[in-house]
Amino acid sequence: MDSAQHWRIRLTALMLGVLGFLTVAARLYRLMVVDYDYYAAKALNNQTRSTAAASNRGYVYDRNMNILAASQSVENVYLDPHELKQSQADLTRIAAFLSPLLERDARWILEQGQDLRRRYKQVGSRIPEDTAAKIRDYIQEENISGIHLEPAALRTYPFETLAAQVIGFTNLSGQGSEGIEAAYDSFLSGKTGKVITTKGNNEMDMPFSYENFTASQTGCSVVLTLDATIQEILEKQLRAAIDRYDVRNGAFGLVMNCKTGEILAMATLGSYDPNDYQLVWDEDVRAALEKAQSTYTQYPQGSAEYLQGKQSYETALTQARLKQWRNRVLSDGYEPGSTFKALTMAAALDCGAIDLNTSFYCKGAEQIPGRSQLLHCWRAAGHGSEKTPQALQNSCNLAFAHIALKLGGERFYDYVKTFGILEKTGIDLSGESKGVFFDKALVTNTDKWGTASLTSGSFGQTFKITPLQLVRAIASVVNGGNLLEPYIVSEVIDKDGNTVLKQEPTVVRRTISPRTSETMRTLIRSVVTEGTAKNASVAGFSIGGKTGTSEKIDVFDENCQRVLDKIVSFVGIAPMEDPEYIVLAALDTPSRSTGIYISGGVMAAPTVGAVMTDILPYLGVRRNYTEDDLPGRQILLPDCAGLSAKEAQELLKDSGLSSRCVGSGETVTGQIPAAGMSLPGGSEVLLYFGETPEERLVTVPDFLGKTRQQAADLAGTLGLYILASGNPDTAAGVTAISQDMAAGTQVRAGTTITIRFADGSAED
Amino acid sequence: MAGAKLFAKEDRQNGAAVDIPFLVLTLLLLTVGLAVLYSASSAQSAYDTRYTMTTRYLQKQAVCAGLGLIAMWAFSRIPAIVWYRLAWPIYFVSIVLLLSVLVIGQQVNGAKRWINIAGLQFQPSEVAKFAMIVLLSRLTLNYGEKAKRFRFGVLGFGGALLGILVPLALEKHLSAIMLMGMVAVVMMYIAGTHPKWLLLGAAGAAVFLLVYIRFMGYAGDRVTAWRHPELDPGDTGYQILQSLYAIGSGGFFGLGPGKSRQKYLYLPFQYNDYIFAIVCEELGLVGALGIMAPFALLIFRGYRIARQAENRFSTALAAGLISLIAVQTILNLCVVTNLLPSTGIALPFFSYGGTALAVNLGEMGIVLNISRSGKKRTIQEAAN
Repeated sequence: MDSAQHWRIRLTALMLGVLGFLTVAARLYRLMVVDYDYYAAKALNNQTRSTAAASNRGYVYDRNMNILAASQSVENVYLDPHELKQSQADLTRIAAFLSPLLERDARWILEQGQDLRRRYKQVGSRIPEDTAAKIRDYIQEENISGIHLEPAALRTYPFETLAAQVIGFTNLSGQGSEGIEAAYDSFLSGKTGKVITTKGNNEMDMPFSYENFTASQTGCSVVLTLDATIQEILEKQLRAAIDRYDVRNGAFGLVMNCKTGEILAMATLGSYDPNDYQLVWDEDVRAALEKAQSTYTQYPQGSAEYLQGKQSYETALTQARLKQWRNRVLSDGYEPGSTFKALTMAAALDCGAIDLNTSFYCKGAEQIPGRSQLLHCWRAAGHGSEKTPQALQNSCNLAFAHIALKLGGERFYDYVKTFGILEKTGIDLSGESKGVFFDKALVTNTDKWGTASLTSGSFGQTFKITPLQLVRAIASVVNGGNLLEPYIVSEVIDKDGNTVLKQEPTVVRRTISPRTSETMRTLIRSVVTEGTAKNASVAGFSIGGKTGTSEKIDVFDENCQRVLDKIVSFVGIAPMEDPEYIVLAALDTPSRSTGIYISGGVMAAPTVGAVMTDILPYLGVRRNYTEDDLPGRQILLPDCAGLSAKEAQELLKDSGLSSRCVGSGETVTGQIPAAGMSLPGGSEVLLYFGETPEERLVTVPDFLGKTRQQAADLAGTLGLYILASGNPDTAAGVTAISQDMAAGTQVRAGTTITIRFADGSAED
Repeated sequence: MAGAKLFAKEDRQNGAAVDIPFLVLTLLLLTVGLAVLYSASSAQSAYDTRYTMTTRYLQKQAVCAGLGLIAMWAFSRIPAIVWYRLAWPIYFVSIVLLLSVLVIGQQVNGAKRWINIAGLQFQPSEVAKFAMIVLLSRLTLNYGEKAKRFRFGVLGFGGALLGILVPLALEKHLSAIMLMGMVAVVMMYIAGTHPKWLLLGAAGAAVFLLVYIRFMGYAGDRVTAWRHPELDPGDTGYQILQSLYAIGSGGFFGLGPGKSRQKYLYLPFQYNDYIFAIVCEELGLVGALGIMAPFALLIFRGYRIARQAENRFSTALAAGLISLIAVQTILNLCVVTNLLPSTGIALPFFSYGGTALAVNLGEMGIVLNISRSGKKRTIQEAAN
């Protein structure tokens, strides 16, 4: 025998024995001994079923218990192709039955049922209970195994786009994404209950038994400090401003209680509907996306153009979605502009760097020491000689540069820090950012870095903070010096209504002294009465505030030139004697095409004024009319019927109205307008004696662009009354910007039209 | 027939007894295999028959085991020279059968590999494996020392191999190609083909495989499913994950005989290709090694029989048949434990499948027959 062959056989046996069997043995040792726990757990999980999964997600309520987000029990339908095949089910019939119920193509359902590679093929998502019941009956009657139903939940948002970014939405697997849904997910989601049983696959009975039960727990509900009515008012006025000023890049706004930090409204427009959160809500963007999609799908699949087009389409789609979901009030920094001057002035007054009598002189432009470029005031002619109050009223950049120099970098930076500009506000919503402020050295070490950052910083330029940071800092300026932690959830309640968590107002720290705060209240009020923010006036309420117009520092055009797009904003506070509410409105990039001067005073101040007009009465703030406010005051017309001429005239005069007598007789037989209507203060009422006034219909004219006098004349000839609001000046620049009844509407003579006036040349 | 002289006259008359340890090991594996098959297939049987019986698969397998034992007994009495003479006819018949599958084959589980002859369904590839081994054995004898030369050792053997592999490639029967290729390499090595050619061939096959994976999406997916089954637990990773769950949850001593949970239709093919996973789950590491041991002993004993055979043909035939069992066993174990990507290779004596079991037992009969000649020679040597 060939001994070499012997050795080759021995070697073969050895190789197979060692390489084969020992390798497998080592592998088995690893799987069965080393990783035993892992696989045992996996196997148990694999062999057990948990059923009755869905827990009910809690609701989201506004402060008046209006439902902002609700849950509805629905079911998913899935096929097990393997099981259908094993049980020899008639797939074509099943598909034909399911097709109309699930609103799916029967052929598609058939294909799903034939896909033997999977055990789970979902054919119906979130179908209502009654449809599920029909399918369940069918399964029972036809004795089919392989069609399954599983509980699921559907989240609905009854107010649709309202406060969408605040509320957020839940994703397909029911987890909260964005807003309250994300921040309070652990409370809202509750605990999914489980019945765990062993079952062989295909529902086979199995001798091995393992049962475990965990009760499901309905999620807690969340009650917001938000008020849907106020939110609606804020969004309505922001939308009106977007239309009126052709605002290109949306708007955002905020209503906060400046004593407690409760958020009453928080809006970012353009919004989206959380019921269909994937849909790009902005019609122009959606049209552009659809166009991009139809362009690339024209190319053959897999070609370079196709892939490139597809990629850029998908990127754009994702960006559009992320943009509409973003809550700009707390996630995005912006340049606050002149609104920030309120903080600078409060700081300078508080530490004694200036007092109310400090004088400034503005000659339009000035070479500030430590600044390489000439500093211009927004008003080229200059404001001339002014004192501290005028510096704020005029929003004078040069005066503020000097205030900053008097204050000095150290103190400026310390106050900024105290005002909470360098930190997140701590609001109970996710996604908050803290803006970008200068490095400390940049404002304190003026020897090295000059005074450019310090002076620009004093009037709110060349840094970014979030709207929420600004609002809470200004709130502290007027509320006596308390920096608050803003919050939007007042209470978390379990399904039985027990309170699980209750939020109370939190004062983070003191910013300025109560005395400084009191001074600042007067100054901020004077900006509306005397300064750049007259357009924010509301008759009967003492509104204060500060305007702001800022250039966007980080937006460049295709030639790398800084785009002069602007964000105009206004922070309004009311009532100034004892501030309760603070309102911010900001409009991003008003278009130049409207011809309206782009500034916070012209655009944002009247928007906030309009918001105040609606929300202050709703919130129960008392009106306090002065003599000047008379035309802006609404007076309920008393019933003069049966009175003598003298009595009627007295009565009307006491009410703040004037009268004219028509006809002859002893007693009043009729009046225009009728009793119970409300009229602006000082309006003339026609009293009829011995005759009955005829009912007359008139057409509402277009008041927009008319001055107060022109509007009053026009209304007078038609027999209409005007309730004027907004800027009280009678100067030629003050014109109507909105009217509450559209031109062309037929109304009874004597009806009151509310018209808002604003100064189209107000600057800041 | 020059080679015929090498067969001893006595041997043709089957004078000596068969190798008892080899016989015992074979019967042991067959018995344990049937017992395990019963456990592994019981749930599937119950499901298929709507809970009326659990022995459906066992019954069919037992019948084939009976036929296989008869074949084993018969083949242990057929002198090796008969196979030597029938080498070429069997080879050509099996090629014809392989080609006919392409025309009249039946589709089972998406592959056309079965044919029906007189109501008997079987896989021609099972016959082809045997035919190839017999022909390579005959060539081993005929070439003798010439096998070291390229012309014979590579071209000769390789030509014979290709005759079988090409029809298999047309059937796209990848697992059979791999199996036969590996068995042929072992046989050529034993016959004396220079290892450098074999290494070159193995390298070539590896390169081919890589290119295949690179350009055939389907095979690429298989590789992903192999390396990262957890990425697609519901589809491509399902089979292997279920297998690993079964094996891993067995632990040291297992859940106990008959107490597998994964066999309740979680693990697909639990009664054929993946039966070893059920062994691990029920009997634990101890039981799994306890079953691998007789396989290893059978293989060592088989190669010993090959070494002691009276001539190069018998040596090659026994070594070839044992290599076939060894390579199948090892590939199956590697696939079940996810050391290799999944291919359809059954575990000899255990996996459900009548043709394969009967053929395996018949082949063991041939090895037993060859063991007689070895006995004879040992007796003669002792007598001298």
